[in-house]
Amino acid sequence: MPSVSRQDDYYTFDASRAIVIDNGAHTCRVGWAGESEPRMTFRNVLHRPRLRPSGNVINIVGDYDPTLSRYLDFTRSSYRSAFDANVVYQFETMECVFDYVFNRMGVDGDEIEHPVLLTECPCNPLYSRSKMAELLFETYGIPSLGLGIDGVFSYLQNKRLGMCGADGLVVCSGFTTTHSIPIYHGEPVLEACCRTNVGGYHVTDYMKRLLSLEYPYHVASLSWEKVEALKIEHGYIAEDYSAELHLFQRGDKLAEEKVRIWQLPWVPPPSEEKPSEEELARKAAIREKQSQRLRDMAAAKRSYKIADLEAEIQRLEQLLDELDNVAEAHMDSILAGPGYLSRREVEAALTKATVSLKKAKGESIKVEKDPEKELDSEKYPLLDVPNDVLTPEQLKEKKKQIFLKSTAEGRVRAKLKRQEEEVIREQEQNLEEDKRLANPEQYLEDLRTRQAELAAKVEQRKRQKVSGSSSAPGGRSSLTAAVGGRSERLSAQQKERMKLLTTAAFDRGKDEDTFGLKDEDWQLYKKMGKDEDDDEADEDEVVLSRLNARLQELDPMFNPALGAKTGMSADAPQIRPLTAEDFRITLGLERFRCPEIIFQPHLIGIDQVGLDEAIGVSMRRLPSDWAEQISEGTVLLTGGNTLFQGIDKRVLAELKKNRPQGDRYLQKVTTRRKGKTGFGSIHLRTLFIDKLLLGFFDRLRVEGGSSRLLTLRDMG
Amino acid sequence: MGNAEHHKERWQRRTPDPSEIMRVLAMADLCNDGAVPSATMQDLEEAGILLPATLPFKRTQLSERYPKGQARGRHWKHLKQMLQAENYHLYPAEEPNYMNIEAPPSMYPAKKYCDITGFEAPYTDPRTKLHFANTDVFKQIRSLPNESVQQYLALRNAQVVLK
Repeated sequence: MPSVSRQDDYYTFDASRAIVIDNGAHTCRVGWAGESEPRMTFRNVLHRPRLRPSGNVINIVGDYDPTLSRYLDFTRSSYRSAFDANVVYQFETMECVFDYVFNRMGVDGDEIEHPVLLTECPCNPLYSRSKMAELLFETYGIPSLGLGIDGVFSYLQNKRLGMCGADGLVVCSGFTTTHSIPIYHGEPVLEACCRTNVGGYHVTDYMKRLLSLEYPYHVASLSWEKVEALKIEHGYIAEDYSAELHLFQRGDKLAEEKVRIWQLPWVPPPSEEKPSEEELARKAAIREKQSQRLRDMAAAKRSYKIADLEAEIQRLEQLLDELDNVAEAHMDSILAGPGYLSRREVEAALTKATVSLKKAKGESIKVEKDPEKELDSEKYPLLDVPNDVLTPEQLKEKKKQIFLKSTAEGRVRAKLKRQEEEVIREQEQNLEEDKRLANPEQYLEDLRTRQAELAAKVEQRKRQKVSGSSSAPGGRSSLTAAVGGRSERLSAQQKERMKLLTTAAFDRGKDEDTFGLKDEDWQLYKKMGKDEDDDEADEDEVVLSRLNARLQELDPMFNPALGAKTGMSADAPQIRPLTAEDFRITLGLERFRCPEIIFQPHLIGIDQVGLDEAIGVSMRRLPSDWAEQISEGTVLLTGGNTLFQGIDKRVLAELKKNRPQGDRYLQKVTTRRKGKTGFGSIHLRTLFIDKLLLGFFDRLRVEGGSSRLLTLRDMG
Repeated sequence: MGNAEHHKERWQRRTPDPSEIMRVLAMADLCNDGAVPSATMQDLEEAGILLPATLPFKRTQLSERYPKGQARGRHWKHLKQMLQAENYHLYPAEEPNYMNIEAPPSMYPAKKYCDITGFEAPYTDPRTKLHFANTDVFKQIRSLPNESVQQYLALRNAQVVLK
């Protein structure tokens, strides 16, 4: 509903013509008395966006207009309604709405000279009514005010048009409530009125929550406004609820036709075209060239290395020869040149170089351990010398040598262990391979079951950890906070620990807590096991990932996500590619399940009668002779929430079921379609309460009293 | 009355198209060198979106009654408080008032419908208290995480609320 421009014919109406304001909780309609259509229709809400540059907050009445979002910032504003259920309680918002109304009706003089007719709910609390009158009289200065029930006005209008008689019943289903009001001789019988707290708001809310539960990935697209539009367009009321349910349960063709599908906008990802043959060939050629180049480089490097090593070996051999030929005394000087300390070192270097040469050339190596053992006594000369002979400096030297020796030994040991482990692992792998080759299917099955179990365990643990802290609505948060912010369910481990701690605290005596005075108390902590929970989880996950990898290479159909499927998890969507179907919202049952709450409020947990029974309740509350007369009249269904298809047939069927047989009861059921409001009737019924009423209300506040009856009866 | 009729015939309801609003606001843009789309309060008033700050027919303006910066009338009584203050119990019980006309609970026992699928539900799960229609639905229910269970129960106001 776009914003309305100012009406320019305000001054053409004379002063006795009333402005009619149908102040509904959902929409507000404003017009002149006597006209058949309202001048303005807008959502009866206020929102307060900010101006973008200045940041000032402005008031805007009515629906959200997306074109304005360029200039106004709507992020922090939400709708404000003046209504609480069907009663106005927030008069500041009401004042903004009235400002808008009067401004748009064209008022620009000093006074509003026209009387105002306003609608309210049946049996409006006195507080609300008096505040409303105060607002209109004191702030707007209107000459007189009339208040009435919207449903009754509608009935009178229809009566004027000949659709209903003087006696009948009006069922007015609004945004938050549904009323059933009998009419006797044109007057509403409020003692027999019946109000159920179910309205259009509840229907839309139910639909929104249902769809959000069924389609958790599309919650963002299910905004309130969108769901309301869906409800208006596709909702209908089943003539016989259980029959319709059976229709859908059987999967009947009729049911299929009733299903509506809403396709959310979705763009399929660009499909990867298989590269053509030439592309493949070209890419292969490039890869070949690159690998060839790499191989050439590696070969060149190797040849350089070999040349170097050979040169080194030659040199060392020459050195050794020299050493052999020369006498002892000259040995040191010859050795000092290249930097070796003894002949043994030279020999060691020579063997190392020959080994590397062999490796470079690609021959096999024999592990030579002997030179190392011999080096021990040379490297650590002080080891064997007993302590008393050494000076303190030499002692320090000895300690250092012991340390070096032990570390070297440790390294050797570690290497041995690693070699052993490798051998074991290879054996295991060979075993697995044999098993696989022997019976491939069985093996796959085993793997899959193991993976499924592990996956379930890991998921369970993850869910426990997460759900405990994030599942709850506000009421539970205090409990989790009390437990220290962790998951509510403690593992057996943690329970043990808590038990030990609490018994320790209480063992002593009730007066003082003397835990910790004696040293033995702390031995308690030795009794508790370590927190192994995380380690287990990590181990499991490691094994799980290994199994996943294995299965993925072996099994063409394996899908790791399938293993962990739960009914309604809101985790990321499946790994398989998304299709158009994933973006479809199907409205099958929901089409008639949501509006059904008008007739069965217990579907959403409201413990009251539905619309059909409410009619019966009203009839019962009537004095009996009136009831007979009314039962021959018509039932008028008005209000925005009655615009569902099929509601009239349903009401008629229910009435036939519930009323005693033979009752010539309520033959006609007519419904009000939007547009045919009670506006015309107001032109006739111009019993207005004068300014005197203002004084009356003042007296009311002092004395209290049942003047509310006066107002309603006058209106009729 | 002739005049009024005449006017009514010629009268056409004029709703500003979005284009008209944009035109006015675009002019404002030009004044601001079109750098950032902006509109002052003045421009919006002209475009008819914003109401003027003072309206001639009001005796006291909004800004006087609810000055900025003060708690904006957060003392409004909600419906429950209003009804409590009304003291309906002091008035004779036959007179209709807001509480009197409330509808009673239904006389018929409530029919149970499946919480997941919506069909009629002859069975109830003792662990989660969800109604279900057949065994497939039951399997689904047993694999639901706790939050979903509470959300389904909340649909019919039967969720567990810890105070």
